[in-house]
Amino acid sequence: MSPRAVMLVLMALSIAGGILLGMVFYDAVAS
Amino acid sequence: MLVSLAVLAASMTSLFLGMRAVMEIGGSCASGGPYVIAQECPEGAGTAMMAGFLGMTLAAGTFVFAAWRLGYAGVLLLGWPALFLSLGWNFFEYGVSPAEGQEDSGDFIFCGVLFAIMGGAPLLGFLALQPRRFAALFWPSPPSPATGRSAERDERPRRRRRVSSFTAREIERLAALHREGALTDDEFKRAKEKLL
Repeated sequence: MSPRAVMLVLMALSIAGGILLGMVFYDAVAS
Repeated sequence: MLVSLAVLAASMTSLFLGMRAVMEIGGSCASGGPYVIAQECPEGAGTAMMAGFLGMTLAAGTFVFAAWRLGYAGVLLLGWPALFLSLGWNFFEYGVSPAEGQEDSGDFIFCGVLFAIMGGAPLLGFLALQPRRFAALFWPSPPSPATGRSAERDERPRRRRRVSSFTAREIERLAALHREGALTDDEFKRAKEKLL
């Protein structure tokens, strides 16, 4: 796997992790 | 770069969810102040949306700063369609099937269409790009160590052609001098090796 492919996968994981984080954050402030 | 991307995604999610909470109660609300409030804000929705806006702005700036040299800053361009299409979806959803106890509102559908155009048009623009250029947004060529710029941008092949034609001309000149006897075999050999 080339370094660029690794970076792309990491970015996709960051976005997915960020969405989860946003949901957790929202639950925390809304409840 | 990855952290700022995660914060950006988190901020957009927070904004998206905060907006849904407000849409759930009709799209407008108020809290605090001296007036009689017709509709109290859902708890935390204001905080979520404010944090979403602020976080998004800061994270976008940080991401561009961090990703620029690595050549991945183009990824941020997809943030615009992601933002407008996701928020536009909220308008559509609550426009088509309003939340319980809310009136049917054409205004939401209008906003949904507007957001869909604002988010969708650039996305279609990106997709209409030549596949190579579209891929370059996410698949940048590695920066060359000398210039720090991407290899696509500098004109290395042209320069290489120019250099090789210069070398060929020099060798021809040396060969002519060698034929005329101005250079010995050894001198010609050494000069040629130096050029190559």
